[in-house]
Amino acid sequence: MLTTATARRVGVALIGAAAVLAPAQALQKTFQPLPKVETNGVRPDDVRTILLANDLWDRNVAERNLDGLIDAYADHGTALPQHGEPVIGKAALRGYWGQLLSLPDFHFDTTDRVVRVAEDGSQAYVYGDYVLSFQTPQGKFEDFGNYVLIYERVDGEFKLALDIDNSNTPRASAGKGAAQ
Amino acid sequence: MTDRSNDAQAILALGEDWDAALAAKDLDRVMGFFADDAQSLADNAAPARGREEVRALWEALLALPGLVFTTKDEIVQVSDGGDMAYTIGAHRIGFDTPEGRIEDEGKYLLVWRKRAGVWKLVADMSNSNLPSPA
Repeated sequence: MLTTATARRVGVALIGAAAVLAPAQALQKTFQPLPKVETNGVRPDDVRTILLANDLWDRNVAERNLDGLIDAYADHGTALPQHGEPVIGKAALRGYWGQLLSLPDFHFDTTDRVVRVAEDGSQAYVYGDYVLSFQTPQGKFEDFGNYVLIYERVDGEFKLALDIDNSNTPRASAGKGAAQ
Repeated sequence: MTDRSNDAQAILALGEDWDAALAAKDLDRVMGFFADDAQSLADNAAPARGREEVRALWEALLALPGLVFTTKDEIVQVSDGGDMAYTIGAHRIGFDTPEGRIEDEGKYLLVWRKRAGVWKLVADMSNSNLPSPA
């Protein structure tokens, strides 16, 4: 269990499509992956568990396994998507991810770069980068960006309490068109 | 359960200081919140990693013409061990560009680690609530 001090809950969950779109050339200029996973040197087994959870996440996306994606979240899990209101709780997350997974030719590959676990193993955060693409009537859209995940240990298991991402694409380029 | 309410209160107080530092556009004061190995992940910008890159990012942000940047913490969660915590909040930002003023609102995540008894920011990330530009 975590100690919680809640000042005020984030507003009502709404589903928002999460995609900032940009030409491929601009993306190549901004994407600079880190060479390896960084940790704070504690709880290596927990780090391994989290990295395996990341692999499972990508597999679930690739296989359109919505149940698997939602199972990764804590009951109070929250997504903070780009260009949308916070998505709070499993029912809202199911709607949100169901919408994303139904996008034509949806690809969303993630790579954890930094995993740091609290000394007591009750909490961890992950920083990583993503590659997103899907088809639209105007062509293929692609985006590169970053994410931060917060894991909390719930009944012995790490569950996603929070995920947030944003795009590396400069604002002036965002949303201007398909990458052909 | 360990009572970490004092830590939570301390972090909420830091959040108010952070908001005040942004309002003052005080780069040194803003940098005082960050750990040396922090990552600052602003929306629509390449990630800044480490003190030098974080400083460059925030120097550029604070220098935006007509910048008004406000933040309000909404949730603070502290690990039982009291060495890690995170804050979720809502922000508003406005600044001038040659094409006109940009006004945006969104949410942010701050990740804190306690180092030598002091809470330091190790990661911050934000994004917009508003629809993607057409």
